[in-house]
Amino acid sequence: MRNDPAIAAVTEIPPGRYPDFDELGLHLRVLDEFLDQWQVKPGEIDGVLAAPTGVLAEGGADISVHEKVADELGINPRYAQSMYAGGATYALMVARASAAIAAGEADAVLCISAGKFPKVGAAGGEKIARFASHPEFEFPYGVYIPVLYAMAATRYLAETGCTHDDLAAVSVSQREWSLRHPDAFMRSKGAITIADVAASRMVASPFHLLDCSVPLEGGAAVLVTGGEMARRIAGRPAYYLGHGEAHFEAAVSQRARFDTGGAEVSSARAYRAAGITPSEIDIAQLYDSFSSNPLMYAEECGLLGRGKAGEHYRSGAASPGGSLPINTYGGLMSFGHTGDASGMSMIVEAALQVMGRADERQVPRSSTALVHTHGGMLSEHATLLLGDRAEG
Amino acid sequence: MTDETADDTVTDRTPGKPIPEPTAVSAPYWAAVDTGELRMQYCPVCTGWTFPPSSRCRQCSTRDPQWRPVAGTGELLTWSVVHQAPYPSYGPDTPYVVAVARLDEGPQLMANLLGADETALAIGTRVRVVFEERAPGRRVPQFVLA
Repeated sequence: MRNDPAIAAVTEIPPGRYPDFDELGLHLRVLDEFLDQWQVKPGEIDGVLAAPTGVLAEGGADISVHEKVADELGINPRYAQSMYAGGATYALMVARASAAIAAGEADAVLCISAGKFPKVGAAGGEKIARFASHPEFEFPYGVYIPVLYAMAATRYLAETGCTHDDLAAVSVSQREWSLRHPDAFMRSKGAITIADVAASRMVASPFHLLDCSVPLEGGAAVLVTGGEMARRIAGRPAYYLGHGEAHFEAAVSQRARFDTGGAEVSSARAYRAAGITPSEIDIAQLYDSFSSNPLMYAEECGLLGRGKAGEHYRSGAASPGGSLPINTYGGLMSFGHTGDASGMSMIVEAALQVMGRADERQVPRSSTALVHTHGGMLSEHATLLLGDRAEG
Repeated sequence: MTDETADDTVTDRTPGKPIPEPTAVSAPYWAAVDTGELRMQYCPVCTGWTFPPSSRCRQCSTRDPQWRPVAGTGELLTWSVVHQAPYPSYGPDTPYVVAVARLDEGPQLMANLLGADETALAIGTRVRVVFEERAPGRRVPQFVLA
């Protein structure tokens, strides 16, 4: 692409509890950290992409977060908006920012996220259930997020013959990665086994508690610039190679297919855009609301054959030292799921790996990374490809 | 279906069980359900079915598809056995089954699968719709094994 768009800088605050910050306050905290960490002056940033805050709040969402971020930076951007596609928002931000840079509409676009998962108490649980389901045709049946994701997971296990052990192997591998990340929330809990996952309480079949991501608070920022500026800032930036997206039925009960999560469509578009094949991928970061997602996505993105991902995980091939490392930061299940901001975590990690800045968890061969994110109840999909050299 | 109405009604008056609020477009669906009949929208132009309800056929965009009875039988596409309820009114039901079935006419419907041995469920298991009364005159469709 023209101007060689690349991720020049990334910052993520540790996932956790931030009782003294609302979602907007968390954005400002992310900005603080970002400006402390990188040699970037606010005046060099001329684009801002943000996401709405308060999507689940009583008063409704704030959809002009980009303005508040720009005000805090003290800039008047020539390119800015807030956008929303759930967990897929942030891969789409990087794609939109890259397109703007290639088109000369901006030189440096700050993509920012910060979110809080509402407490899953009695009222909170009902609120999230309403948000996730169709009000008339799904919500009345005791449905909430794990149940809706289980619709695809049940079908996947039935069709491939994989078992809960295969799902549990994902939780085990991601916990192992999280032990190498200083900010991972579950790091202090130590390693787990397949038996531990199976022994944790049932939530909604096939998911036990340890098959679920950990609801937390946090946020991150990613700066996308032209290649020249990115090389000045990072030395070795993570170039944007291409992306693909696909948007399916919002109501899970109306999905045309339950045997896939939907990543095959967006990943095929991403590979075509980047002009590369799945065999060129060194590492993958796959959105993991639940343990079933990385299994299905590794296959749907063409990285492993149908029904083979469980074996890949059980053999340790996705874990440190493995042939195709996946979710090298612990994923949303062990690093932490920062509410609506979570779709940024796997982009931050993929960029750090490509940039060679992943410290203790650095994968030796990490030239090309695939990030797959989803939003809604598996309804919005965005696949992002990053590499250590510009394409075309 | 009308003859079988008495047999096809179950009652669950647990306080707080959600009762759907019909919209202008879905009102005919819920009015039929409340009398123990399942009706969906059929397009005479393209012979396609539209569900959830809409002012236009979702296959060919023809205006005002016709409301027609469907048999209320179909096969299981997928399901989950829920052990932790999202809100208190479903607490006493745990473990309960949430299922999606494809009706024989084609539309897909989500409901609870009542009274089923969850270890015996498989893709393609036959189910039929019954009507659960949650308040006087207000019902929701549910599944039982056919």
